[in-house]
Amino acid sequence: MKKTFNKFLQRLTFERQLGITVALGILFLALFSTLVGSWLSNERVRFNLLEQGQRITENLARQSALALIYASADNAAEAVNATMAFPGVVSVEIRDVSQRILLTRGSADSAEFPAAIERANRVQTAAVLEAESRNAWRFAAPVYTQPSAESPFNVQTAAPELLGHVSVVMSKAALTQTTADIFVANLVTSFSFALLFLFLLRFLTNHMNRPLNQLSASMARAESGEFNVRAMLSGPKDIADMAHAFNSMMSVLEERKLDLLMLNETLEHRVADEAAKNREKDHMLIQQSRLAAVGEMIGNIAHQWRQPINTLTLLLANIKDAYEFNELDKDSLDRMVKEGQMIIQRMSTTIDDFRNFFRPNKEKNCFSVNEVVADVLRILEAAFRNSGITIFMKGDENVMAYGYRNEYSQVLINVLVNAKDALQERKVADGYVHITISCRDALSEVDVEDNAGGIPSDVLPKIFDPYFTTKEKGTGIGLYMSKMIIENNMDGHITARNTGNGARLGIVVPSCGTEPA
Amino acid sequence: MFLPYMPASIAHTNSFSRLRERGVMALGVVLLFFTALAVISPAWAAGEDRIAVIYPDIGEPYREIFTKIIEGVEDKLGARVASHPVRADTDVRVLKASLLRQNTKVVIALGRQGMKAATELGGGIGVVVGGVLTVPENEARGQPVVSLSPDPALLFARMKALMPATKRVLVVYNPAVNGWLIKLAKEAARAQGLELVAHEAQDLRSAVMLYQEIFSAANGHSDVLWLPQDSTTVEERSILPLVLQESWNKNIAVFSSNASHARRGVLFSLYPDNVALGKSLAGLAQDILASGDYGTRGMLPLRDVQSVVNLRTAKHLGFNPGSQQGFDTILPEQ
Repeated sequence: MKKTFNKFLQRLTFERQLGITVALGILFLALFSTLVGSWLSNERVRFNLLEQGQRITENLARQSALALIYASADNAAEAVNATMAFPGVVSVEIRDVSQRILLTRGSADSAEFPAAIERANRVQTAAVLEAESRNAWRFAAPVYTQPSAESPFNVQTAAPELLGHVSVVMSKAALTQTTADIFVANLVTSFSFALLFLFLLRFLTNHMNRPLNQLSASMARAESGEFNVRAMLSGPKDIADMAHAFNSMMSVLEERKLDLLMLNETLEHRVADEAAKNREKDHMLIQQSRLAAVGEMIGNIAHQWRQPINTLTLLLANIKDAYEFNELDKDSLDRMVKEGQMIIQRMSTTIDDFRNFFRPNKEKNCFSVNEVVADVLRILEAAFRNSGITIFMKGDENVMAYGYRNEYSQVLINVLVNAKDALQERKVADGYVHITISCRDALSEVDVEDNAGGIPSDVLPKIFDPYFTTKEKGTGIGLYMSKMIIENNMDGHITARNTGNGARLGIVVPSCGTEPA
Repeated sequence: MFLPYMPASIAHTNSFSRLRERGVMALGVVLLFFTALAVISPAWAAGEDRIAVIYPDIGEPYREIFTKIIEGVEDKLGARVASHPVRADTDVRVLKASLLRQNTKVVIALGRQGMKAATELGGGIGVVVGGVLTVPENEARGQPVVSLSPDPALLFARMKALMPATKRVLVVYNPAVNGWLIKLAKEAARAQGLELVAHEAQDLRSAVMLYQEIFSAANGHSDVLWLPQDSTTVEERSILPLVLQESWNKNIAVFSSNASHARRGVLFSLYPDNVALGKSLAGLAQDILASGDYGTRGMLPLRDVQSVVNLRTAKHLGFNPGSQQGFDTILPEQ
């Protein structure tokens, strides 16, 4: 029941709940005032009727004295007729002191009242309500002789003499009818006023709520996303203040929304700008990377060419010495020229190797990881040897990978050069680099481990960030580009971790056979 | 209602001799007044034994009655008398002190209130009561009480003079009120050769029944009905109309001790002559002063009366009382 009532209330607006509460209160008040008013009126009418009955009875008692004195009902006939003429009087009875009926008139229900008239009343001529039934009252009054006039000559004053009693039965029909009439009149009046008041209250409530409803509607429109919503500044001051605050809030909101729209509209351009900047930056990185690669290539060429150039220089010196000492003959010259040509040929081959090595691949292909490692070591062999670093190599044979071969080679070069630089920088006496080639789970892996002491823990998470370098003349591009190549271009991943006395970088790329069909 | 005063219209019918008597008395009073002035010592201030009057302080029409009585007292005493109006709240001790200061020996107490005050004065001051109808026997036996009820002897004599054929006088009385009067009436009737048939009635209803019996058996030629001063047996609103109606119908003569009854239809009435009553009371007071003793005590009938006759009733009864009958007032008024 309570839940049902609460649900019913929840379906109603506050205004409706308040209206129902006030209406019920007013109607209850009207009903209460009707009942109270009717009760009071009933009491007043009852009192008046009782008073009237007493007066009628007292008058009859006064006018019945002669009839009782002479025991002649005729003497009271006129008084009885006058009494019976009063509205509501249904019967009259006159009895002598012995309770013998002298006169009776009317048709009272004898069973309703006791047969004898109560003699309890001892106040002269004062009538009392002697008995009351559901439908009628019976008033009784004693009949006394009229007291003689006060005279200064009378020493003995004769006491009034009781002659008998009269009783008057009055119907309560008048009371019942009057009560009903008063109740109906009160009910109609109270409810008319209540309805009038409710209509007035409704009118006033509507009048007072109109600005609030308008404000609420404006809020709803604003909530639904409508623009240029403004509340009317009307009604009571507090509601007008609320409307003003709402309007201010809407103005601010719309300004911010316009700003946001403008921001959204320019965001694409800004993103494009940023993307272009990034592309330019990447291009610059690539350029820098290429320049670095060119430097590396030139350095490696220089390393590769130093031995042949020395050999050529010695060969030329040998040719000069042989000529000066006349030891130069055709055979020896041919042999030395041939040897020189071979040296020059190797130098030319070296250039070709480097040129091919640094030429970017156009598309992904299957390549042999072992061959790439061998090619890289051939390029870097001289540089490592000059640095006193020993390279150890082990692992599976004929490990194949799928991707860009030259880019993969550049990554290996970057990793091995970093290891060489670390060993040189830390001046490790017996520097070495272990290269392990393996293949498992359709992935080819090359681990490069050195004994340069490892990467500091605070540096380790940042070694793949662009422009991050610990070298005095480093660019911070190498490892960043390596990560981009392996992870973005070849769908692999590159990791770095410290070992007991150095660092290990692992390069994992999909093995051949995993290429898309 | 009992109205023992004389209406002005009746008073105007007094005889010339009475006017002359009053004139002589007035002249005497004037002479006494000038005599008193001559000796610069009024009689009432001379310290002699004094008679004072105590009367009810009451409004008209009763005040005039007491004034007349006091006038009669002063007439009799030949001097002005100290009059003390009393009310229910009058302090009797103050009154007594005033009386003793004036050397009062006898007070004439008038009316119920005067009598009440006088009886509370205590010993040392004699009391004569007047201006009351009847007094309970135990209260009356201590002093003379002159009733306002006319002496039955005077009534019967007047009635006998009017209706010589009368044999019986019928009366309904309340013994508690008029027992003393009926004793006198019996003697008076006997003196007039009449039979007094007195019916006792303790209450109104028994009185009515007695009247009904009387009227059913009375003989208009030989029986007359007497209405004494009695509020029970001669109740003005219920009994008197019956009596007047029945007596008229049955031609039974009715006489009364109340002057107003004659105006309502009884044959004749005797009523107090207030000035004469005052004189009688003054005479009684003087007797007490002179003898130092009350002498007569108890209820005394009124002998100072005036008479009124209703000629219309007399005519209805078949006779015409002539002027020789000496009625002070004749109704209807000419």
